[in-house]
Amino acid sequence: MSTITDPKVQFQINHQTVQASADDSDMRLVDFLHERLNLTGTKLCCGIGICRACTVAVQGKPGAPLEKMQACLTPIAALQDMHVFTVEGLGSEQALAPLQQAFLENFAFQCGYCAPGFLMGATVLIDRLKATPTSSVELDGLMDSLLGDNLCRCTGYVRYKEAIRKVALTYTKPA
Amino acid sequence: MDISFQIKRRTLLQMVAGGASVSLGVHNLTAAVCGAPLPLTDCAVQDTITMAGPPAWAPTPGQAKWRIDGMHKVLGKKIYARDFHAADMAKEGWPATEQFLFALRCNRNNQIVTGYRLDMLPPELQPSVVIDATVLAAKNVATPSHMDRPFFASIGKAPDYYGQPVAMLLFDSFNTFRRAKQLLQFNELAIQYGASFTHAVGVFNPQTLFVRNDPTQFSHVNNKTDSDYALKLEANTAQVRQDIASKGWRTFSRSFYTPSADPAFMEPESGMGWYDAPTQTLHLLLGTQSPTGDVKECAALFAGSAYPVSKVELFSCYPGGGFGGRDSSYFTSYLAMAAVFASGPLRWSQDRFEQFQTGLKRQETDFSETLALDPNGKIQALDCTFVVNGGGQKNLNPFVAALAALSSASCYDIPQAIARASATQTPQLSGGSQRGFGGPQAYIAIETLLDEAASSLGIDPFALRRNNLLVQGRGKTVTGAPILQDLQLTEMLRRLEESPLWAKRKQRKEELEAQGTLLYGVGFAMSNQAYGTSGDGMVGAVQLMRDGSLLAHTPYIDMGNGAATALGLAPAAWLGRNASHINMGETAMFDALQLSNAPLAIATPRYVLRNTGSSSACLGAFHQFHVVEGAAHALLLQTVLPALNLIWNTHLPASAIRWNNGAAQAQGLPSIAWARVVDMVFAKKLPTVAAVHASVVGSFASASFAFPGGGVRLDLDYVAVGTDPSALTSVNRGVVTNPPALNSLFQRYAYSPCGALVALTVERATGVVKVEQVVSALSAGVLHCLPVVQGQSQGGIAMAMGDVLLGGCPNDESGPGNGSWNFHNYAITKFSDIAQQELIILPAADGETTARGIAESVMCPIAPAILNALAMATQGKRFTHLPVTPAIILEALA
Repeated sequence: MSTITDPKVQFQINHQTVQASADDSDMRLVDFLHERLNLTGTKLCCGIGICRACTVAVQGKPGAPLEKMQACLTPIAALQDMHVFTVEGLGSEQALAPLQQAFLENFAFQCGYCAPGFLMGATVLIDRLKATPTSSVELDGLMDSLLGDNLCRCTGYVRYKEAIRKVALTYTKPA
Repeated sequence: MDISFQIKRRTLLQMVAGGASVSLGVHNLTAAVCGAPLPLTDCAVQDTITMAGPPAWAPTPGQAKWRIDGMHKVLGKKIYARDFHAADMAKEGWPATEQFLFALRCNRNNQIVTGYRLDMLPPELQPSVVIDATVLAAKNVATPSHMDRPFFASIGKAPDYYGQPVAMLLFDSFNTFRRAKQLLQFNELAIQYGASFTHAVGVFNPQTLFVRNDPTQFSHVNNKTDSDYALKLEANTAQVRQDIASKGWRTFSRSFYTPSADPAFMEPESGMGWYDAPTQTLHLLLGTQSPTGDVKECAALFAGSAYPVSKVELFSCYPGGGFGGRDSSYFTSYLAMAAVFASGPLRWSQDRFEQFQTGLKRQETDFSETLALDPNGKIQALDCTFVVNGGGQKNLNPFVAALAALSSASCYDIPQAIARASATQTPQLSGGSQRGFGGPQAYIAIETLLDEAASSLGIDPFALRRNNLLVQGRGKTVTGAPILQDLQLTEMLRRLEESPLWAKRKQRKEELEAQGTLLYGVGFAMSNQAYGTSGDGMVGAVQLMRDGSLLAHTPYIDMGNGAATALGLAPAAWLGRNASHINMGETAMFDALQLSNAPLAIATPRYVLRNTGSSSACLGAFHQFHVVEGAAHALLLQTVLPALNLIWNTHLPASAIRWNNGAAQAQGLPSIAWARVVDMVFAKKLPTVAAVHASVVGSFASASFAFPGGGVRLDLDYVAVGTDPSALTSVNRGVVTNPPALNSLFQRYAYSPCGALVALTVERATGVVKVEQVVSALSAGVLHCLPVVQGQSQGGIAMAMGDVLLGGCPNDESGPGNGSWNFHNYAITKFSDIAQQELIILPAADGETTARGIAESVMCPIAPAILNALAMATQGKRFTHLPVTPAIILEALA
């Protein structure tokens, strides 16, 4: 990552330290990712925090629980010392994350534009389940609370749900 | 994994005003996403060849393990137009420094524009370039032929439609752009308006009127070519109306309204343009459903202007959703127009507000329909009128209206029918091609009226429909066209009628409603959506690579509907393996074939009956699959079979060959591994590419082609082979048997019926509707890829649920035209709204060997089924104006 000479905001993206200039401190995270870091996997769709296509995962510090964050609403100034995770940090073609593998094998997405938002929202779900396994019968409710607002126009969500449930079930307690 | 554009040679020439020609090229990122390598034109046997194994995405012939384009999507790679910066195009020679565009758009249509101002921007945020109507006129840039209105609203005139720009502003950096946009967007001072103005409402041509009148044997098919057709049309219209009024039939009449609906594809339209003045080349980067059409329109813009363009190069990206909204979108023309004013690459990424304001919509539609039934429940007559609000530009609006008329009789054989449709020209939201293309409106009318009729006549809704079905060989459509397929309607009715959801609906209603808080209803509806147009042409090719992998080529665009995946499976039937790669949006190699349907070309070997069209989702499974599969067949006959016969020293026909685990087998002969076949093909310099064309108008044009093993008759009208995809040689063909000329009057010739049951609850206290369960039955023909078909159904159900219960764009100043709409105004179905679903896919009909286009069909019965379910839940209340909101339901229940 290039270093800007007058850093005002410093944070981490996918474990890499990033510095933003004062000029960019009011820039939306999604724009910063696209325009300054050339990380375009995080998608802009509505720009007003409704569709969740731009969902990223954040941590206040290493080891803290992952939280969802909407990159279209978050100014860079709010990210000081935060750890941000985007779809580019999830896995690679040679080593897909389990959610990515499940999305592929379940034909979960169609045009795919909303897939990164679902992946990152589901990553937070899995993180929660790892920290606090819940009963499998409560899984659908948890999925609704964490992913229920993610919009998709192509798929009707059914295969997204199946793919996420498949991975999430491995982290649940028997009913 | 590196992704770069699949660069093509120069392709077709477009003649423009003044007799100049512009060369056009389309280069595909989609191809790269789907793993298409550059074609190997050097066929020399290399020293070391590593043979490719089966493709990872589809190792089993005819089966997909995942989407062929899935890996890039799941990794968040750059594949959409919005992802690209000029610096990403360095390999293509683009400069890295970008400018950014903001369109200053009118948010009114009923007042004269008196001026616009930018003085709210401080000097450091001023645009470097301002383009408006005056500037455009001074530079003599034309309005494209597909636009009925000028690019810009002019000072002193009222805007022609919501969102028409008064100026386009170019900024030199992203920072300047974003800060200036913050000051300009939603700023009521930016554009000044004066006196009020009322636009005249026009009507786009063609207008549609189909009349079928069996008592006089009158119909479009029977009489369209009569010299006195217009007179007969008028007389038969009058007679049908008189019969409806006088024959004592029970009539059921309603007026309906469906609002303008946004396709709401997730990626707002985006793109880049770079005008390279020294080479007179306009480079564009876009995600479009119609790359070839778009690039042709752009070529014509600059003839005689201050910006000479002799080449247009379109870099075609993966569309982030489409549903028709990226077919003939004006975004491309605006981008091309603005790009020539920039000092380097120009980037334009619309936000969702702008997309809602200007993106092509499903048209607001006012329609009315009368159904007349005799006491036995036989539908005797239909009289319907559809008026779609096309907005300011013609686009595909009159043709959408026409399909509403063509679909008006749904699955039923109605002996007397009047189907009228038109598209109005208004200064409102722009309409275009949207999923269903008029069909959804048509099925809402007839399927809800039938439900009402069944209830009123005391006839079971299934029995009523069963009594009126279109049947292959004896049923006719509103044009008088025969039904050429087994529509499987009887079986569809049987399967749905037996569903527990239907059989136990009354019991479930009693149980649920006894609890006091909910109402319950189950609705049933059918649809008979056509796929294809009145006649279709299609091209496809398959190429054998030196490593043994197969590369499929198609001009088709995958909008997320899974077409690339299905087409990648097409070679397996003939070559025993799937394509490893698919080259979508290909134009150069097919243009090089120089096929023509012009009358002057009839006597030539390159004459074909129908030209190819743009990409709509319903054209993949039947039309495009047919030619990719046909190309694989041709490659087998021209190349692979001769290679096998050389190895075996035999003269076997193709019918003797079987593929098993990647090896060729024939009775009594040793298995031949694919690698050995490939080695023989390249050693003998046999053709490695086969490209084919097909025309279908009710049936395929067919001809006998002279392959090395002898003549073989195929449902194709052109075959070419060679070793270089851009320089193929025609395979000699015999006399082409074209479909009967009469077929061209049918208007539509292929259908994929779908029926649906929808169960829902209504909260008595709030009017909130919850769709609980959907059971669909679909006539899909031969299945290429089950998860893709299921996904289309699931998506179609969600889209229709939103259209009926949630969405709707007012066409006045309160709607998206005012520039302030986003997903906070326009709700679409959410993750948590999804119902339990079952999709019954009927086995292919007897003798059916092809798939049917189903992407539109699967959503078409859902809306009327929901409305019929609401009627059951509310003791027969008929909701005819969409969306049916909780407030409307509460009012009806009061």
